[in-house]
Amino acid sequence: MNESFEVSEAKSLGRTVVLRVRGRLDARAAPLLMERAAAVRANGQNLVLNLADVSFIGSSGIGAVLAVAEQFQEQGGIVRLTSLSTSVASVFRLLNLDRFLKIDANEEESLAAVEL
Amino acid sequence: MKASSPVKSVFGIRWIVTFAAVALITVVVLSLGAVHERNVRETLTSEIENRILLSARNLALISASALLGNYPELTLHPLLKEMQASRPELAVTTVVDVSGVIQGDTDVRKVGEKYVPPDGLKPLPRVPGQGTDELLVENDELLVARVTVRSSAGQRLGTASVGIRREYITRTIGRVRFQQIPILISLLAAGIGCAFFLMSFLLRPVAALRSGIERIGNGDFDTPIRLGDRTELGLLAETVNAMASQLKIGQTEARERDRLAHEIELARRIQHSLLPTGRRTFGELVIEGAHQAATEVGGDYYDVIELPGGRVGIAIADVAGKGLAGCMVTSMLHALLHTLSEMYDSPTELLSALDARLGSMLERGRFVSMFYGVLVPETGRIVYASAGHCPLLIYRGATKTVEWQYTEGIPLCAIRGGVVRKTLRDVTVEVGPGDVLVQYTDGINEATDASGSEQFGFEQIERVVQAAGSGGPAAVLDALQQAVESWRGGSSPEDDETLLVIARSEAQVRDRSSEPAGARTAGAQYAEAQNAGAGSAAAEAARRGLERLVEARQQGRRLVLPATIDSLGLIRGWIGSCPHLEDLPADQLEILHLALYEACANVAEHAYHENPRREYELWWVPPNGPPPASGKPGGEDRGAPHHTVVGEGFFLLRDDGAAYRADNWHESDFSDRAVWRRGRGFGRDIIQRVMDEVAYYPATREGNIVVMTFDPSESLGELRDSETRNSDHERVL
Repeated sequence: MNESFEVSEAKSLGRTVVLRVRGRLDARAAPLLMERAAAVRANGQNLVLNLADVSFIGSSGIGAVLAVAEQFQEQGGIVRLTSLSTSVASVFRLLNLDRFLKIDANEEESLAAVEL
Repeated sequence: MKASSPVKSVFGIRWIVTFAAVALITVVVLSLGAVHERNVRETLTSEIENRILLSARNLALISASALLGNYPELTLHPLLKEMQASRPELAVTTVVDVSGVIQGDTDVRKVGEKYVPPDGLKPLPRVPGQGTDELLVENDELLVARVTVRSSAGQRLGTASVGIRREYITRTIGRVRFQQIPILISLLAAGIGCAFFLMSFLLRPVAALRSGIERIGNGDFDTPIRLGDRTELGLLAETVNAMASQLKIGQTEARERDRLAHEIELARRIQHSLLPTGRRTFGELVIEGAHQAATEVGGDYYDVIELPGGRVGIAIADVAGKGLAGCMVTSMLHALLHTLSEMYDSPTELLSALDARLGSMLERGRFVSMFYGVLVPETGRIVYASAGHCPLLIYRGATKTVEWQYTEGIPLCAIRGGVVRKTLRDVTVEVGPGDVLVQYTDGINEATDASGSEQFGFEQIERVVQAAGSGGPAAVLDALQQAVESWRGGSSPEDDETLLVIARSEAQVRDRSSEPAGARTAGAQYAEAQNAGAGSAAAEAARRGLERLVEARQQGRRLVLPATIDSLGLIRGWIGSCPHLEDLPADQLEILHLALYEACANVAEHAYHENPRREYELWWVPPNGPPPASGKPGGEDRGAPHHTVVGEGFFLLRDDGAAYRADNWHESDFSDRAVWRRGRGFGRDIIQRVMDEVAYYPATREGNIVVMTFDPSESLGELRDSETRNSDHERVL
């Protein structure tokens, strides 16, 4: 039940950092995600969020993703989401968020899009 | 262009006095001159009369011997010539014999002629020393003395006449008058000089006095007028100085009064701002107050406080003593009451706590009479305690009678050291349909009539309430206010007049009585307040929610969850056990799970604040049709699309926690970056998009109920377009 949540830095390529999110992205996990994203933003880097291993995303998690995306955009940074898990993808689709968020199939595509 | 202001001409006192002195001196001198002239004239006339009489007498003596001779004219002529030469003023010097012939005259041609006396001669009154042969006669031009000439033997020989022109007398007097003119002028000059000098000397302090008074007029009360004058002007200056001192004291006092009046006005505004305004409605109970402030800042206070659990605190108090101190005590009372009212359920306990706290702050001799009650709108019951406050008057709607309730409590802080507590007790009053409770301060019952001799009194309060009670709280309030106002006869109230009525309306009671009896949730009052004015619609909605609950209890599958976020993980397994749901495609299951997760998270967070000791229920009531034959995971039709229409089922959430407003939710617009920045509040979006309909029934007698309609046969993949989902829900959403 208390599935662990973790955010790990997979790679850093140029001005872009890839964070891999794992576990339940709920109200408790959301602040951690925002904290890690803020660190990347503070360095002036772009962000690729790999959500492949997110088993559950609640409204708080969605809120965190949206807030991160907005914060990066305000500073002229880029956030791309990649490798959405089924649950994440279906929620995004449910809320029509796939129309607004930049979503890629895999990390390479995201990196290529960011570095373009 | 210079504006000219009319200047009043000023007449100098010294000039007025000088002119007056000159006029006076002139009058005096002229009067004296006139008297003097008259005296001179009389004296001179008398003197001249005597002189011509003497001259005539002498001429008669001399003429006697001449008239006895043969040629008297030879003797008389030289004599008369000499006489006229030495006395030129003499106009007549004639000697006539007994036959009336002129024998001697200064004009020699007249000798020998018959004597013709001048016309109009009249005899004058005799003067002292005038002889019998002597006569004084006069006309307008002449004054003549006639003396008979006699021989030594006494024989009459003739008449000697000596005359003088009157003109001579006038000329002589004129000469005397002319001599007086320099004296008159000298006297006038001396008078003018003296008057001017004297007036200048005497009036010199007037200028100093004037400038001093002008200084005072400009507000300088500190510089006294120093004259050093021992006349009445000096006394006047001292009087003006004393007046300036008094004015200064008066001005200081006036400023102080103004400042105090300003402070009092501010205090009055602050005090007034502490009092609630308008009518307050709690379910079927209505509380309404009225406050009429006295001219001075009074110490009345009343308040209506919403307490946890839907209860309502009602306070009315009167601080002994008016003025700013009284006003400050009411402010303290307000602050303390709002702090303590949530800590004490019992009015006695609350009043005791107030007594203890106020006692440490109030000066000795200052006390507070206070009524405090806790009203439970659901039950229409009020528990109150009264600390020396006016007795409670109750109008009973059912019997249309009034009753007084007296208590034995003494005012707060009347006796220090916790004695008050022993006198207080909680009294319970059932507020029935149509009942009106009246509380007030002593400004009402002690309002005096126009003559100031008789008080309004409790009996009149009772009569007014008895008469107006059936009209409801507003009627009672109006009637009492008008009765007291007319009792006062239009004069301002001497003390604050505060009225508070608590009433239960009959109309709303009927609505309530139609609802099932039983325990009601803590949030019931909230819902009622929200639905005030549409009570029957709210009751109807609540009934629908309760019907769904009954349905769930009969046909549904239940999950009981502790109010924690961690326990939300139980939902996924429970969904898997529910008919019609267990074999939903994985992605749809995921979405449904998310929606239920969000709905339950709302309850755990907002209704119970994640209290692990509290629980709530989640029900699934499947559609009426049979579940698909191969619903189990691993079945032969696993993964097959579910297009069979079986109708809608519903999820039902029931909790006993706090009701929350569901009617202010708006669908999130994700094209709005502000929504992204907000980063939260999307749970409702998920629920709304997953469920067909969401109905919220807060604060029913079974608690808060949420019914979420869900059709498992619809493909969640075909996402419900949010725009088509704004169906005409009649419930509060």
